[in-house]
Amino acid sequence: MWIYEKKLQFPAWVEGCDLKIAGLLFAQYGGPDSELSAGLRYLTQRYTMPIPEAKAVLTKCIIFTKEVSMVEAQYQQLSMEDIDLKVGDRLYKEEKLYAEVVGISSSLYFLDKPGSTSGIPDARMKEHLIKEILYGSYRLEQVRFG
Amino acid sequence: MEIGRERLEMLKEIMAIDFSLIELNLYLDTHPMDQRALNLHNDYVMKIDRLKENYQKKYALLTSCHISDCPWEWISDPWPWEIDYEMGRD
Repeated sequence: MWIYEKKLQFPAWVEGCDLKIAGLLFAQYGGPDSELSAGLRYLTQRYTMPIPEAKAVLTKCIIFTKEVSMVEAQYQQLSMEDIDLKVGDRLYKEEKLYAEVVGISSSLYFLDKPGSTSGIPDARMKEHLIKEILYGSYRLEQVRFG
Repeated sequence: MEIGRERLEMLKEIMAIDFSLIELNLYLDTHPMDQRALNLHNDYVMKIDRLKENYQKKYALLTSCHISDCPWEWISDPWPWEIDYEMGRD
């Protein structure tokens, strides 16, 4: 199994305030093609993998550790106060609101992740947004309340 | 959180070698006969063992499986995401 070590795989540094980058980091952190889902996918794929080399690649602390380490490095980036997300900041795509900062800005889960089901008002809206996220192009912009 | 120049350099060295070991492991999984990569892997393993031992003796635990004084040492700060790796530099 895995052992946690009190170190990062790679130190990450963030400066300045860029809501678009923040949105992409959130997607990479926990979205449909994120490090988290990739890690779990590899772990499951190895059970039906017939080739020893590939079993090793899928299993070994390596892959999962790598993905989880990425998550930790990203968390380090996301938790930096530098990103300066304010309550009320919104992420828009194709004129549609898909995420809004609804809590304390420096904390991770107050912002909805692309592809997640949280905070999206109804099923049709949700389907539309997921299609936009999967097949559309990102256009994120920042809106501040008064 | 600043942890002091010497400790930071040592931690970064550990992180760098572990990073190389992870990549070498991945490569060796599909190239098990590559003697050059194997030598490199073995060198790094010896190096990292010594480094981690020194670091943990001198500064703080990297893993929880060690004999601990009271109070339980593992929960002491800083955690990896709290460390200022740039030592206050912009």
